[in-house]
Amino acid sequence: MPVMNSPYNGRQPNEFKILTELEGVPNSRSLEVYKKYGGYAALEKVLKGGMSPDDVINLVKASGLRGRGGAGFPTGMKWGFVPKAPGEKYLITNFDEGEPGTYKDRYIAELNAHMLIEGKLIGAYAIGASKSYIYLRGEFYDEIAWCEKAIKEAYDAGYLGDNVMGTGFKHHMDVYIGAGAYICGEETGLISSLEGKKGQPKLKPPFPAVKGYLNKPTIVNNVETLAAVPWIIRNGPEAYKKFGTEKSAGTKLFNISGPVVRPGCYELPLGYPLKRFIYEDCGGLIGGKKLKAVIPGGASAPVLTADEIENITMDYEAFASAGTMLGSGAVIVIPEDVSMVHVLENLMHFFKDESCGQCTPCREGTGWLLKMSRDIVNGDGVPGDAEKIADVAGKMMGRTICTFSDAAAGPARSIPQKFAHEFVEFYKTKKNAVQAHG
Amino acid sequence: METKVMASFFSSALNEKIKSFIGRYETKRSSILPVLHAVQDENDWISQEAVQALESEHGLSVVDVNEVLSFYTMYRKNPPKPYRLEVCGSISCWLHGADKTIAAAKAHIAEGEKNGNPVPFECHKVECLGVCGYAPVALVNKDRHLNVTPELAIKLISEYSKKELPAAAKKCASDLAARSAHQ
Amino acid sequence: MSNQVTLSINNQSITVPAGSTIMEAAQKLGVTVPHFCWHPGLSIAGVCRFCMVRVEGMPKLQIACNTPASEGMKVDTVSDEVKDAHKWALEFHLINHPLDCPICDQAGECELQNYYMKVGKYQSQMEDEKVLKPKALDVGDTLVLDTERCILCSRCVRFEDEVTKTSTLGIFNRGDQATIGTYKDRKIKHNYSYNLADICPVGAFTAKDFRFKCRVWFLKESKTVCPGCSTGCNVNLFQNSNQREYYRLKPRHNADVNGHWMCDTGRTMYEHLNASARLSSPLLNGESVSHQAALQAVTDAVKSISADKLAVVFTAQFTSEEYSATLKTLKATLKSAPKVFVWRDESEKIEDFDGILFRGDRNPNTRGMMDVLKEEGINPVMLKGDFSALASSGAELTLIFGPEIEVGYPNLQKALGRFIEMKKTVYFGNSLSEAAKRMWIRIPVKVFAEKNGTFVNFNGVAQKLKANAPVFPAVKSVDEYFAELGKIAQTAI
Repeated sequence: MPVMNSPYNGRQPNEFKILTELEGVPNSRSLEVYKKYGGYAALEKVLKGGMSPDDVINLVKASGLRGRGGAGFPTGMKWGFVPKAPGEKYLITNFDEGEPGTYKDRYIAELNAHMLIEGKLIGAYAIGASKSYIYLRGEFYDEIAWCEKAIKEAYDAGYLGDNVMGTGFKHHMDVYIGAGAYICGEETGLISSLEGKKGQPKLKPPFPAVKGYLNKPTIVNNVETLAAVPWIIRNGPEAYKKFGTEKSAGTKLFNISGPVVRPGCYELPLGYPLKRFIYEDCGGLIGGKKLKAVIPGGASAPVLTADEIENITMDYEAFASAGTMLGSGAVIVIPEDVSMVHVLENLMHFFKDESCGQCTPCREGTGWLLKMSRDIVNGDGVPGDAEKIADVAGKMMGRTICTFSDAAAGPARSIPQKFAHEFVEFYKTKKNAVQAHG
Repeated sequence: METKVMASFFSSALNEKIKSFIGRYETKRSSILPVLHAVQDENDWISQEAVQALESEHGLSVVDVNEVLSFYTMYRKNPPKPYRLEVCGSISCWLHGADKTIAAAKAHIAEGEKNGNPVPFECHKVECLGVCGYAPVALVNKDRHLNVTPELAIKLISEYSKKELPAAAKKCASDLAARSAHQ
Repeated sequence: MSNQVTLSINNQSITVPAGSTIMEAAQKLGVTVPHFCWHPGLSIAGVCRFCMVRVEGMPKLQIACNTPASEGMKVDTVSDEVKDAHKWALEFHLINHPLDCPICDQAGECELQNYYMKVGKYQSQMEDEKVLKPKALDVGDTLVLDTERCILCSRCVRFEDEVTKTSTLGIFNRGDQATIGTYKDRKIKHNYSYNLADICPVGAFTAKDFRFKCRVWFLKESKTVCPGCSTGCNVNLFQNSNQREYYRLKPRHNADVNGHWMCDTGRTMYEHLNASARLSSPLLNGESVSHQAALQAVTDAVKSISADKLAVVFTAQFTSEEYSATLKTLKATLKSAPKVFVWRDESEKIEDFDGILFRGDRNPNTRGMMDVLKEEGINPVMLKGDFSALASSGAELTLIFGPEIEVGYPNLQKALGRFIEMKKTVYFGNSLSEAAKRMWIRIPVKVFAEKNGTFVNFNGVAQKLKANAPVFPAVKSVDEYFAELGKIAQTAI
């Protein structure tokens, strides 16, 4: 095992428990257990401890909490964009977890959905929303049931309703169930879906904080983001900032997939070394296979080669400077015996299937990228095709309403660029076409 | 009262559910997704007759409804087999051999058809199901299964096939029988 | 001050109202930013991604249609970077578009084709098979839809949602399978359907009444005003000048009158202009005579009676100049004003309005006609279903100015039947009806497309007509006839 040059040497992952404190606790999903571990104390502190909405926003700003859905936008600042004027406002939780490689939000619901509900109540108080939704993807049957049960418990216990904890604060919460569309994880696509429409992202401006759901001010936050809020309120922003790096405060749920010995969802401080995560925490690759590449932040993150992960840490700034992104913290491990051309084709299939079809470059481009990748896999590639894929993908970037087409371009540019030699093998012979992988 | 119920395309229980969804959100249009889920839960799929009935009986526009119906992949626009084995084929599951699982399941289903011993199953590749660490991930109707190897897929097909058919599947079959008798 | 912002586009300065977009500022400046989905009469969709521009200080290219103009903003629409973005946007539009321009009716006025000639003209990089979609769908009495040609700009969907509020169209499925359509066999049924063919930037919606009739490059357009109702929509009239054949009308933007649209009823206002629907020579006692002979007979008849024995029956479908010339000439000849009657169809509901453009007053110049009568100090008598005022007027000579557009007069036959009961009747108009033949004299007149003159719409907006060459050179407008009549009358003295 290589020796890491990291401040976390010698510390165990379970020393960083903010979101996963209830891991392994019997009956963890119940309200009683949640309360036993300090649940709803943060809400009480906010509502009964004389905190104003601005106090909450400032505290969250001071904690350095950034959106955990992928974009990493500072949460407190986002809340601050909501106009102070009276009127309907909405807080929506993005529980449309669907970025390939990502399964962290559901883990929170599996542990205890009250974390999310309490965080939502605090966020709703901060922005002045009397109604909130949890938008869940439709395939999450268990997670939907857990959220619905927790909401009911919260109503019964007086945490939700017209008079929350007897303080006069009014807040109602409901779930809304998606129906199979990755694009609803984009915040304005999610809003369109909640309005009963196709999940097509909306033009900005106007921004949702000003005109969102039904043209009312709306904040969309990821599950993991909101679930961290009660802890931050209870323990203070300084305690949260003790974890992580200067620009990436706190802990993050990292979910690993691909052939590793111990896959799963790990809570780690931001800035944790990626290589240590893969090899120590997750036990390395199954059968001692050699690592070829890592997609560090979900399917849309540009790929890193095995060499590139040697000294990299898992935080917003380190990944950005390596030309990729932290995204949802979904680490996808690709072993040596898998062809990157096939990986590209698989990813392009996903993006082609999931493009909403609204903007021309994305609608037409994702289909084109798939066709070109498939041609190469089928042995119909010719020299120059890899460059053409990267080129077309480059022309889709930054040209559409939402960042979906940038997401497709992430792998479509990085894979041909970093693994050009593997494409050359495909041009030479058709025989590669018959073996999928392994 | 009795005649009114008879005239509806939907069962009275489903009509109540539809009405409750229509009243649950800020706008009527927001009810479209939940309403379609409810129709599918009871009928196993969403026919164009159902879409038309949502307009004529509940005032939801057929254009709005069909836009939604055709956009989201979970809605079934054609009558399905009683059980759907939906295997995730996105990157993490694919790295764990999801395509082998899909191929094995499809071959098993085809084999049954050929032998005159069909299983009440269909198998589809779907995009990411969001539990990527336990790949390949699959759904059998609403039940999630993890680490679905080809062997497990075939075992699941056999086990479910032995169970009593789900209520929605029975309703779907009797609706179709009634329809073909009508024609 | 704060209501205006000044920005520069390609180093040219332009001031626009605050809240305007870069696209609007560019239009005002006369700078073309290529676009498909943006339409000034519809909400902003921002989906074609064609109108990319560089805004100084912004990290990415921006779409001109949805980026607000701001004070001091510097916009570039012509740099190599922007041109490359336009080229690629076009390429993405073309990769699944069928190459059937030779059999497409839109050819010649297709924005995709035009932009290809301007921006593109390069070898497409797409070598794979195109996505196939339904073609030649019958979506209503007026339109055919080819969803494969559709570039999903959503203009038509927005038109249906925002203008007619009929919401008949949707975009179904997603990704590159996204397809425009109606619900099953439900049709587009409203009086504004041809606008869909107009706003469609490609040949997805084509008008049935124009399909395969004529290549657009043979057509010459002239600016005029629709005579179909009292709204007076501004239109372009398309004529194949070699054949002297009119083919269609299309709306012309006028913010004060019709915005960007016109109704389907108005679209038919070319049908009565062509030779096959027209009369070429006058009739006198049922016999074909020269224009001069007919006019001489009318002049003689006018001169032989006193003003109180002359009845004039107007319909509100002539220009203000025609009413004025008629009345002034008659006054000069008779030394006194004649009795004037205004013929309205008995079915007319003048206050009717469809909420968009089409009005119950099916005459283009009611307001102008009434203004002229007032100017001349004449208080007309209405004839609407009841013709007794005319019958008992004691008129010995009745000059009738019949409607050019007879569809607005469903009870025309009944009215003509009453007119021929009068002693001596002169009918100015192009009516092919039997009753018109039985008038003492029937004189054909020029149609709106062939006249100079003014229509005043319901709202008092005076709009000029400009004459195209007439189909029959001998046929004149009413003012031209009366100028001549005046001359004949004077020479006779």
